[in-house]
Amino acid sequence: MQRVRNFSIIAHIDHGKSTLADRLIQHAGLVADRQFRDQMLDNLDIERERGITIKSQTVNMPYRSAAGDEYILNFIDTPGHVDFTYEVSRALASCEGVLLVVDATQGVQAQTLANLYLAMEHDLEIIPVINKIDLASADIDMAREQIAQDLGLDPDGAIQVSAKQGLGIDALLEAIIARIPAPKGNPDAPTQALIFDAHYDPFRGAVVHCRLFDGVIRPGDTIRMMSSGRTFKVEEVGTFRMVREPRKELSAGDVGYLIAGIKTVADTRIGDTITRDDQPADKALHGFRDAKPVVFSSLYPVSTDDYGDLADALERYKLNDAALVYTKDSSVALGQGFRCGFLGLLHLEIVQERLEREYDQSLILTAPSVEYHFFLEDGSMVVVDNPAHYPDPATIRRGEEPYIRAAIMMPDRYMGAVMKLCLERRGVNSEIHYPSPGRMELRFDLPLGEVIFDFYDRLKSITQGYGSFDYEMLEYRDSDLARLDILVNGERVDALSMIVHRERARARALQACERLRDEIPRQMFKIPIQGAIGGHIIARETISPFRKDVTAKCYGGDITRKRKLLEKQKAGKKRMKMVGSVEIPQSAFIAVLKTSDDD
Amino acid sequence: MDIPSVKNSRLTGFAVRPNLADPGTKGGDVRGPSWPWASLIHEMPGPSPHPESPEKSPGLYIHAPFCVTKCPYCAFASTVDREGMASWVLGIRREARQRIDGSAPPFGSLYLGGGTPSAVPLAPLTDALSWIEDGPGLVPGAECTIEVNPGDVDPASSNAWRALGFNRVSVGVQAMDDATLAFLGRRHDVVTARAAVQTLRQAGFLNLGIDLIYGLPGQDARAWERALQAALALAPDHVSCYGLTLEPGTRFADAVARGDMPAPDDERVADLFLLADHVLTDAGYEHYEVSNYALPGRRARHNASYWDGTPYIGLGPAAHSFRDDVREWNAGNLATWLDELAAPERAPARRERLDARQRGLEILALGLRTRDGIAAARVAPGPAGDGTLSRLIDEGLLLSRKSRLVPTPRGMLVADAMARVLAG
Repeated sequence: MQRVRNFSIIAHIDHGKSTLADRLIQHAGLVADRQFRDQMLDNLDIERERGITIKSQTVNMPYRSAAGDEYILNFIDTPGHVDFTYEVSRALASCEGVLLVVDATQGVQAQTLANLYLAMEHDLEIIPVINKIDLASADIDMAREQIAQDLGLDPDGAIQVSAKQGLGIDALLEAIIARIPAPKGNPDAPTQALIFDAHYDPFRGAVVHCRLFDGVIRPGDTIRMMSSGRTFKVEEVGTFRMVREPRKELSAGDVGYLIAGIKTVADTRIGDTITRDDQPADKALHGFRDAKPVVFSSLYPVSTDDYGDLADALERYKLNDAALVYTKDSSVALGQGFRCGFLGLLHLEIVQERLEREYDQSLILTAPSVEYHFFLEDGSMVVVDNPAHYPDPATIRRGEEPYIRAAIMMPDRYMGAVMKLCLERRGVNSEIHYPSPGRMELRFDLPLGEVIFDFYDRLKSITQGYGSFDYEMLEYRDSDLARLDILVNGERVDALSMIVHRERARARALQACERLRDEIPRQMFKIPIQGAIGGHIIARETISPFRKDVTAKCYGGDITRKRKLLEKQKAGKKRMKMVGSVEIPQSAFIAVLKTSDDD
Repeated sequence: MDIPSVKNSRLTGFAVRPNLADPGTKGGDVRGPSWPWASLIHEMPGPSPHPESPEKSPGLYIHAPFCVTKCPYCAFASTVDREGMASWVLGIRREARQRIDGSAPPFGSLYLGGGTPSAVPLAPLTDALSWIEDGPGLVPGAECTIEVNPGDVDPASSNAWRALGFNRVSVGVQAMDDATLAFLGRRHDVVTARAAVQTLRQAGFLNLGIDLIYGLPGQDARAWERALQAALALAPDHVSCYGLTLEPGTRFADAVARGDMPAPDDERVADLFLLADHVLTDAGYEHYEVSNYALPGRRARHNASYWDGTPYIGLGPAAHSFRDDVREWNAGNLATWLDELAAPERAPARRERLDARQRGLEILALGLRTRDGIAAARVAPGPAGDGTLSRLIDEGLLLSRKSRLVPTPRGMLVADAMARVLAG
């Protein structure tokens, strides 16, 4: 145990976390140089494209120190988005130290600061790493100064590296073994293992990623999930060396995996504690929280014929994503689909993209919603996450919506714009902190329903990427809610309805109408697009008709060419949804949800 | 009007036969003595049979693919190489033998298009046509049209065309000012066009149509109206107004792709279209098809066969045929067409049999181009029931006339879109 080091890397986006991880893996000799693919760890397409880590990865690396001692370094990667803050916190809870990466060309960024706080919360040893020192624009002195000033860390302890060039990696590895403490724990005590991730293997079922704090786990043991009490028989334990490497046991201080005939990852809960059924621990490790969906949206196949395919795809996808929940849903405009619950908007986007790319689905999503509470005249309360189930307004006594406590960190020059955004989104109870000169933290109570609607995108846009955002759930609060309907050519499009606060209804309605106006192709006649609450129209746009759609001539009796063109045009419309006599393209449903820079 | 006698035409060296279908000009003496049904011929085409009716006599289209120059907007099959003319004549005769058997009924119309048929010298032209009267012949009163380029028109050629039996001429006027003509790459100027029309009239072409192109870069409503008025001064029986279309592979299309020329703007083209409708309708022309206007009784009957389901046989490169729900088309390239004629079997790729659904879509798309419209029963139950049809009527795009649906001028402009939605 004395020769084990468990650590994570935290960094602002683009500061080189993945490259640094790659270099460490390469140094450990786990992958032959010629097989090396850039950013070994970000192995989902979406992760590579966006440069963010969604599913965290773990690597067990052997290391021989300068003094000639053999060490095991466990690197636990973390997802880098607010939707997955909980997953990050579980990964950090499994470590004794972190490498805090600062880009020598950009210096300390808001997210660096937020990450620092996270690491401090878990009492981790922090090693500042100044990366990209090989670049001409690198300003190492500036980075050192900011590490001292903004982070309050000792700049002399910062390790200077170029992950890309492989410079300074030896010094960094030595710092890891010298400065990050060895794990503590008692192999003879009752077993306590923290689940920090899980993934699905089509042949073996759920593969649970865990950190043992006390005790041991061996194949053949019967383990118990402390949150549910469910038991499983362990088939295999081991460590990750890019591929799974079975071992005889996992013991206190180790990071590794176990396979125990668990059918889906939904049977494992991140943050849960695993113990042995025959000799259970008294209590679970601190900090377990059930992953609860907070954002809801319906998924529909673009072509109603593809409902069966979508059902299959969701079932397969769900095997690897415990956080996704779904039930059947249906819409007049879109047919049969699924109501899904997500951890946040990014999670929603990831699920959408993976279903489309990896499962070849063509999807339409409805406006994301939170869970609203409606107290009815008869004294009952209904929970509504789907505008389709909005109760008869005459029966509603009052409504409630969930609030969050948002913490936004940013350079202070953006304060005015961010304050305005929060107030616009009905923020209350503002509080301002200045953790260091030039930087500020703004705290607000915000309705979650306002946050899931493009808040994060807007925040990033107005702070030019410098704003970071974290939140915790608060309670439900009274709210004056209404269902906003969108009418296209006088007909309500049920899939476009949303539950909104009355104060914000007009702005939301106008925005939806504008987006639809831009996305719905012009047709032969004028198409009114209206936003309405009940029978009351609160917003209106009009799509003017096109006036010409005819070929000038049929060349020498060539009717075939003309008919084929018409058939092709008709086929193109199959991807559109007919609402009454109006064709609405898939992009229109998506556009209603998207943010734009000019509003 | 001074109408020269064809008996004195200079078609020496050819077995000059009298008119294929004599128009019975005012002089009354131009009919050839050997013309078997001369006494039955009417100058005016008879009333158009009911659209979609199957019993109209088939039309005959012959494609003459030769042009002196290639116009920058034209995607029609044509070649500037006139070497192949002799082989073209042989090909036409061969294809006629292959496709038209002895028992074929006489043709209801003849249309010699191109290319530039007027660029074909009289000798090969005569040989390309003479088989007709040796074979099925033409019905009495058959409309026989030749497309001519104003620059090719002189009294001799005009008389010769008349003598060959053409009773209708379509003149490629295209524009009524020299700058536009130059832009269009035409070989003629306005003076030539005016003279050509006069010469053709003098030769006895009582049924004369002209073609105009609009929607050109920079052409505003005033310029287009001036062109229309100048065209009306030519007193044509028929006017075709074609909105400039960018056909792939043309020089205009390339220029637009390169950004050297603005793409035609649909809104502006729509305005110009309605302006033409207004001007020409006021002048007594009937707007009977998207791009076509005619004085009463002067609709182009051959062209109408493309829209109303009349069978037609096309000979020559790129020519299309239609009969019994089968469409066929020839290779556009002269040499390929000739090779395929020599082959024992027709290439199956150039043939399609329409199913009921395809034919239905055609009938809608073609019928909605015309003043005759479509039978109301043709509209699929969906659009009829969900309000689409009534919306089109309410919007003034369609008129409901007894059991037919007839497009208004604004409706003609969106005929393709209407066909798509009404086909369900």
